[in-house]
Amino acid sequence: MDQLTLKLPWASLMEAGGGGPRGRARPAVFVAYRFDNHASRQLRKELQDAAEQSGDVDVLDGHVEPGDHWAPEVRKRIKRSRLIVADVTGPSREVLFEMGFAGNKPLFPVIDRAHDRGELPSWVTIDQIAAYGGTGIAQVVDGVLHRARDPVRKPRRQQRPSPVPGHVVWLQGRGSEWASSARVRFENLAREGGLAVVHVAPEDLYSSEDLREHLRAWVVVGCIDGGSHDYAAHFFFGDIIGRLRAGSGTGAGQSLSRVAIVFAPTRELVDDLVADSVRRVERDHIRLIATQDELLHEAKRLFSRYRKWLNAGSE
Amino acid sequence: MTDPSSDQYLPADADKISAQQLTDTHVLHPGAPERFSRSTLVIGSRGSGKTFLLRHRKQTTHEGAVYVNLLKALQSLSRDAGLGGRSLTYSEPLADQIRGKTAALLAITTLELCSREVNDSLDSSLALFDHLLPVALRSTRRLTAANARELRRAVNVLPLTDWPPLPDTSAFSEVFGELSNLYPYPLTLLLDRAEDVPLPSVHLLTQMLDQSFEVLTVIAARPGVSQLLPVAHDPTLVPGDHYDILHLGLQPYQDSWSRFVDTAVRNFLESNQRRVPSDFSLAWAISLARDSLRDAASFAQAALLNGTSRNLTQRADHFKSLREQRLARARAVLYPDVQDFGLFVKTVQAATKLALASRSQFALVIEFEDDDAQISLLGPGDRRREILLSAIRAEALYLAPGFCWHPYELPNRVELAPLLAWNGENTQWIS
Repeated sequence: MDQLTLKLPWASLMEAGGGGPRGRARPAVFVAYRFDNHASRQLRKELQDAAEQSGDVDVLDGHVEPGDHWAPEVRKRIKRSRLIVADVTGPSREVLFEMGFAGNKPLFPVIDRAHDRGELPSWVTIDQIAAYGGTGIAQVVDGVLHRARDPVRKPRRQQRPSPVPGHVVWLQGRGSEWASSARVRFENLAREGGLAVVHVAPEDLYSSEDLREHLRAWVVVGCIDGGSHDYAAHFFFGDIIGRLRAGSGTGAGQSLSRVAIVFAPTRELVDDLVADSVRRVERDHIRLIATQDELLHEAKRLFSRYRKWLNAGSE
Repeated sequence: MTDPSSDQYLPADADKISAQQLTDTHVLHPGAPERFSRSTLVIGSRGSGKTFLLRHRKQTTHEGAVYVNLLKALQSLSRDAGLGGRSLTYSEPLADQIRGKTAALLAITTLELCSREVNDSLDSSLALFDHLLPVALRSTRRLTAANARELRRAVNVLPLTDWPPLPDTSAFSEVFGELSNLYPYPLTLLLDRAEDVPLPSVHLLTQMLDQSFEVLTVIAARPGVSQLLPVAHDPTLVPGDHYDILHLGLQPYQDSWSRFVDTAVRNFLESNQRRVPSDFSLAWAISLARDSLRDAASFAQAALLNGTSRNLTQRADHFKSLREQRLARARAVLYPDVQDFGLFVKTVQAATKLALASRSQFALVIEFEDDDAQISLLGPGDRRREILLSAIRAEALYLAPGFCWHPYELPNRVELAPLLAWNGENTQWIS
């Protein structure tokens, strides 16, 4: 039977007959900031104060009351937001995770001082980054609220590519030799399953285009050990959690769950180096692993699932 | 055979047809196994054949299986706590008590049915249930269907507030493990109407799908049940990995489904002495009914009733009336989250006016867009998610053809119910 697809905004359903009891929600911005840094907290506060004064924008963040389910609550907030303000100073694993998570939402990166840019991975610095430290905060706040009221949609060429089942990425810093033997074994397993693994050294990601190419991954193994490459890994982890399925279209056998594997040399390092946000998301899509055996066991499971998916699709 | 234009409508309710009719009318669902080899969650719209499927398998390939209508079995819970499958408000202590009582009722009902199946020859006592019962209800009487029924009634009568909480599911699993050892058949549980039980009860049911639960369990529910699954879901219980999902009517417009429904409807009508001329096409009735065999049977009867007189106007009036009923139900379910769902339907119809006026039936898929947010990331309480689930429960919207139900995902593409999409004028849709 023929099918006709009609594109409609959500508002056409939610506000049919008068907007519902809650009416139209105000635009919101989500602020990914460094909880443990005074300047960053000050930025958050200034944004909140300005938004309350203008009365037409809500400011949200990743703080969740104890007892609430963190991941779904933060997801809800990010998805509600028109703009993601990310304090990339440092950078911070939490912030990078939330940036990955934010998908194709317009991003407004900010930094404390202009000279802090030198500490950032190059793929973060391609965008214009406003400095809020000192006297810049008022300008940054104005800019954020203006963008929230009138968001600019990302051009299609800057949007993330759709994830593809079977595309596997191994992220390993150049100095992280501890992970090399695991990588070889992982790649062998993948090859047996008819899969190729793309090995990416975060140090080689110079631009957002370089990074974006690898966002097609269905499975990402991010090797973390305290080096600067951990930031890219967290960004990828966030992207996985932000876009949970790989595959075009919908339907039985047409999409696969994406998975991020956090791989560290020891269990203690997993606990120390992984952002809190990563720990609080659904375990269906994030695995925290500290031994080769666990890694290979997980790999076998995933590759087997891929084969089943492949066979289901060919029937 | 009776005159096909007989105006007595036959109810096509799988709960009510006899075992003989079940055998006479059964047609294998496309994609459904003849025998379940793993615990399975069967998802399907109202009338898609879930109950029929479970009852048929009990009669054929799963000898000795136990069929439980969960709405009936757990009715006292809804009565006690004022909860139904569609209510989500409960406190944590109350949830524990509901789980506790659910565990007891399910175990006792299962045992009652098993005992009946083998003429009370199970060699055990009601002490089997001790760990699931408050002290006052424990008994050492012999395990028979009559004694189990009496115990079940006592459990139903005990107020929920007097019920001890269920700390974990180990005692529940053990009871079923023991029952499985006693029972001469491989114990299979066929649990129907999961969408109509309280949320904490559903939590317990989903644990039964785990591979570690010894008993093969098949649970049937409508698509809206996804909201009832825990947000902080068990990471060790992965749909598709640890249990199967069978989505009935996944492709309601494909030939395989159409042929299945055509055969099933003809079998049903003929088993009720209604003659269907072999050259009488049911194609439009099947398409309009989408994935509901029940609706297809009803529409087919309408076609037979009005077809012989070639009176399309009469038929159109009948379907307009059905459409209004469906719309009224959708409005009631969605209010006040959506003030007037009818206006939304009008918006859709206005945007597709030309196509609706000139083309034969097509699937009208709506793709919601603001940003490319995946609804799977929206947590409970998000208004869009709740509205979408309610609309699916009300059969006003459906998952787009080909989208396989998954407990933690909703698409942003849905299909408007064909009956609601129809503009009331274009008779190509009803002939």
